Amino acid sequence: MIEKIDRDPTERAYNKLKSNSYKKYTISYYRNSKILPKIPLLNKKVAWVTSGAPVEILVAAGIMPLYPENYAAIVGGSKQSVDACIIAENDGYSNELCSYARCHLGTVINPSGSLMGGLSKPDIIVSCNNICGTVLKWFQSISEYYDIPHFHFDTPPIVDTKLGKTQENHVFHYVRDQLDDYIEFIKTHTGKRVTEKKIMKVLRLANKATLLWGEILDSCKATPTPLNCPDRFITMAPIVAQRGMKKTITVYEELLEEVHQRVDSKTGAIKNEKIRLLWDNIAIWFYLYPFFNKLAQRGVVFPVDTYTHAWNMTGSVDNYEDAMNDYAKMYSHVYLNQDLSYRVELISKFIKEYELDGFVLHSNKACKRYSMGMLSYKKAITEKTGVPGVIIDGDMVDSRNFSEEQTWTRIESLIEMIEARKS
Amino acid sequence: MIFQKLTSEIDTALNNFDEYLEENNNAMMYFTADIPLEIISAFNFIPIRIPSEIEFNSKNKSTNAIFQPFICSKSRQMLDFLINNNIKHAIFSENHCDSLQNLYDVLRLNESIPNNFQYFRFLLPVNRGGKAETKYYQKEIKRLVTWFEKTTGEKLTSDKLKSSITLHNTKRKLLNTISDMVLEGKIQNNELFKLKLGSDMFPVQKSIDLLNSIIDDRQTIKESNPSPKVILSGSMFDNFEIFEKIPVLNNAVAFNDLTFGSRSTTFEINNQSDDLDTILENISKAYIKDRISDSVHFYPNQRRDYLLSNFERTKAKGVIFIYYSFCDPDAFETRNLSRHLEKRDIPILTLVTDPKLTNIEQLATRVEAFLERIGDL
Ligand code: SF4
Ligand code: SF4
Repeated sequence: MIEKIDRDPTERAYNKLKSNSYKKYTISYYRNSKILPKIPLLNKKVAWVTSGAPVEILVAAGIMPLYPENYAAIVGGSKQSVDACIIAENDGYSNELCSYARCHLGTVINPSGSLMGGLSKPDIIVSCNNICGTVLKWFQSISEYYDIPHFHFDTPPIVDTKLGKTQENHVFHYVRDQLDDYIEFIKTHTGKRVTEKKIMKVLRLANKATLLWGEILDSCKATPTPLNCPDRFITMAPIVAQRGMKKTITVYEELLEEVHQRVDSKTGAIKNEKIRLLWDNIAIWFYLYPFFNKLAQRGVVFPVDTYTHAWNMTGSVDNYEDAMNDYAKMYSHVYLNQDLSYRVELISKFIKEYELDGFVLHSNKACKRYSMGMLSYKKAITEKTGVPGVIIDGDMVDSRNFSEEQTWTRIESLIEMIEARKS
Repeated sequence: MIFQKLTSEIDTALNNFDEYLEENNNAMMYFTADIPLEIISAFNFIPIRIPSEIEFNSKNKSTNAIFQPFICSKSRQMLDFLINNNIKHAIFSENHCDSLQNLYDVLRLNESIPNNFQYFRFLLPVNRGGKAETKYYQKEIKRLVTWFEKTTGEKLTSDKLKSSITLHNTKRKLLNTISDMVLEGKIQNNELFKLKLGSDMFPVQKSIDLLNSIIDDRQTIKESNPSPKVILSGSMFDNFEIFEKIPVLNNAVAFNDLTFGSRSTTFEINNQSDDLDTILENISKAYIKDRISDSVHFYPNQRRDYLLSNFERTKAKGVIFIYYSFCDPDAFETRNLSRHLEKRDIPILTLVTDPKLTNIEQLATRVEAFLERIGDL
């Protein structure tokens, strides 16, 4: 039986990761991004990019990519995001908009009052709508604010996957051709040239890091699972923001080693694993550890989530043409750019492969693309897998849209349902 | 008199939309203004936009059980319409925005579509104005043509397409003429938009006849005193009953910068060729390069320039933005356009509503106060 007694919420029910180079790496990356562009001799350029944008080409050009989404998540984790959101709202941004966007724009408007003094000012910005349409408008705002060039990488969605349809040829070519335009854009606006050789080198490094990340995620199938949601959410930063850089590989080699050790020694991510769930949608950053720790105290762990799996795609790195073709396909096929049938299939597959008892869907007010259709696909997943799920209402960085009490009532009912099934 | 007859015909259709669709077996529903209506008409379908003014009973499922409250009010209304009417054919603008994304999947997951439902999932480019997206759109409309040919068993010929283009070009021109007549005080906004509504649901030839008759009827009217005015700007906003419900707004709007208003009529398609591919290319150029884009598109500065040039042309005194709640693209666009106008000291007002205009009294009060402020009441 699952314990129902109230525990001290601060009592740690998880095993803390020993690997910490991911943290040091992220901190030093942000620190460097503040210093390097200011050294004229280095001629270091900064690009702000969305999490689904093709970053490898920027890295190959020696440009420093920075991720406003990643930064907003850090601001959220530091509980400074509501203040930043309010600044953006006071500047005319509706409070109905994505909270990453509001939070980040708040720090653009008021960098001196923001965490780390805001992100280093960009020379160019790159958005890609494979994760949502919001990023286009958000980045347009930035482009107008700083009066800097903006490249938008347009990736029409993948639909009718249920009918076995794949990306249409002309859609593929449209996306593929934009990669060439993108290289041209970088050259025109930063003076930085990218050679095929450099791109291939970066793609190989990115592939290697992604394979390591994929192996880490895969290892979570073990019982007990070696990583819980917060472990993956926190360690995912380099695969999102520093893909294609050498150090990212070292970071994940270290993490994988610890994951292997945990699997071999049957050391779980949490101390007493009883129930295994899936998490869908972005983390609730301002409530990350309290939320998952409280569940861990009840023996609930999350061996898999759709969020961190979104950065688990690799392509061919044999020759430039094949690599760029795969690259175009990869960026079109990210989780949020595929239809809902794909979502149902993928989550159902995870439920089976990770031997899960249920799933939690985070209906995220701040992210319409991720949450649209959730009520419908929840039902479809349960019908397909026989496993129960629950929807909780929240927001990744705007705590004003989150009710702790309501969330726990819903989670409680899921746990009870699973318990009853187990017994 | 002519106008009253027309109004009553449109209202009857709107209030009994089920029956209207039943009578028009060849209705092709669509949601956004970048669907090439010329192709739909060339296959003898009637392109029908899902208007917000529509009345129907929500008999089946409620959208509240399907969409969370933060999904935009317009997509809720469209879903509501689709699950409660016997639609046979539709073109889905899948990637128009985050709220409309996967609308077809949501319908299917809710088992709300009849077996004989024929649909096309249009994968629109978000980038606008450039060569790559124009070429891409051309290929996507070729896919649409293939789908139509399969669905109807009929081949598209250049003749059919050319005559469809001629009709739609004529319709757009007539609507532009009527829009100019608003500025001249010969026709009212509520009338213009009633005509627009009719032309978005009637067969194109019928729309042309109606528009012509109205122009003839009103041409002789002497210019009434066109007072200083405002521009109404937005993208998805499409409940034009607002003009009936807020008379001061009806009088004050000199020009509209709305997707289903002026932005769906201020372009023309070249049909001087007999080669089908060239005609399709011309359609693409018109929709992707010439048509003024919406808030969901990437065409830097095009909207701003269009708005500003019409502001100058009409000698307007202010701009009223309007959008539906939880519409992220419009909310962003409105804020950014507002900043450009503020820099030029142009007075602005922003209204947020829903397709049923449930907060109409509050809107009316704010419009009145704004017009008073800019000295136009
Ligand atoms: S709307 Fe969603 S996918 Fe888009 S930036 Fe915001 S959180 Fe990310
Ligand atoms: S109103 Fe806005 S969010 Fe809603 S369907 Fe239209 S563009 Fe999308």
